Amino acid sequence: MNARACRRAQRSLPAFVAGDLLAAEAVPVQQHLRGCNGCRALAGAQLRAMQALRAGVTVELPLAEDEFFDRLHADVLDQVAALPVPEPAATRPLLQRLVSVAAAMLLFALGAWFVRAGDGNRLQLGPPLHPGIGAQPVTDSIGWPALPRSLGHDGLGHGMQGRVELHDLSTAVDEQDLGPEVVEALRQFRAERRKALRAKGQ
Amino acid sequence: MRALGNLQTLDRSTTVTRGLADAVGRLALAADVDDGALVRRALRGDQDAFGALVARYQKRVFWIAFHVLGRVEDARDVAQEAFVRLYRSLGKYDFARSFYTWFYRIVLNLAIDQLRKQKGSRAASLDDFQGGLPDHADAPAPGEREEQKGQVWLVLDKLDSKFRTVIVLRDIHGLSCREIAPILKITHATVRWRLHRGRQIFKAHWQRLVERQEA
Repeated sequence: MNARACRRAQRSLPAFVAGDLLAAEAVPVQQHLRGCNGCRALAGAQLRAMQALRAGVTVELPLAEDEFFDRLHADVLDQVAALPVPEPAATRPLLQRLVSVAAAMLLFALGAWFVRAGDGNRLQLGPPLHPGIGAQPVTDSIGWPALPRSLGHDGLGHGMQGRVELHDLSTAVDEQDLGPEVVEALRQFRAERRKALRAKGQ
Repeated sequence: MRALGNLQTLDRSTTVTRGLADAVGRLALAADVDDGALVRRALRGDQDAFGALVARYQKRVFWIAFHVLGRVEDARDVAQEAFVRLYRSLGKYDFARSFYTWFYRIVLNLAIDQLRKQKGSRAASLDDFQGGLPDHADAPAPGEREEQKGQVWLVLDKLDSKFRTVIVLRDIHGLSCREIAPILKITHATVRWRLHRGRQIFKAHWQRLVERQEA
């Protein structure tokens, strides 16, 4: 028998021995046990343990069974007789449910009133945070696609965008101020970089 | 094979004791009066209805508590306390759900709490018992029934309560995994896994004990 078949059968042994497996699950285990002494020994050990469990948990009661349980019954009823009759909970949850439904309706009405009163628009105090969002791609003066501008450019906030910010600053310089030689050098540099990137991509 | 006394499947007449008042006995045996109807009547102050509920369930409750705890006195106390708790919380019973699932949960919670309390005090008695195992010179002769019973409890005590509970409910009381899941508020798959692991652990401990005996 191969080890994998043994492992599979052994996983099912406790349930197999207890009779918990469906017929379709039990048949392959049974077939395996017929041909595997090792697993059969394990199944025997599991069976003996289960039998011991079932045989070992009986006990003789200190009284005859009827008397024992009659006394238990009487003791329970004596103890319970001293308690008030339990209040059916049906009335309380209904009241609680009504209160929670009323609270939910009130909250909904308040929310609807705020929206209608236009308070929600007060959130939009200035221009959109990022004018570039949704616009056509912008190109710089040399036809190179401009990198997205960070929020910092609009003076509306500086978040965790340092990397974008650095890129953006490099392209934010007005190239006309650099002079034609520098612009030409920059164009060549970018063309080379583009070639290098293409070569790398290939 | 299922429960030494497969209490779950016993005829109802055998689970109701004989010494009860006639009205209570008849009510407990009445097949057309279900548990929910008895709860409704008890909520209206009908003591006989509650008495009938006690009569219907006391044996099952006692034996479950006993198999979790292993002591008659403790199991009796837990059974009695469970019925008192049941009475106090009858008003919270959801009639859309199974009565015994709800009630067994009360019983098992009490039994497991009691088991935890016992653990410390029981350690001493277990040590005493272990002294009587065949490793020792004054070991009793193997094969004696009482000794074997003691050994079963010894092995059960080594199981974590979560494994022990499912083994008691499934292998001793014959409840199905689908019945056990809502009682313990766990999934059906978890019941099956705990049962599998619990049986493996029980077997391993039991085998070790037997091997020590035979050595």
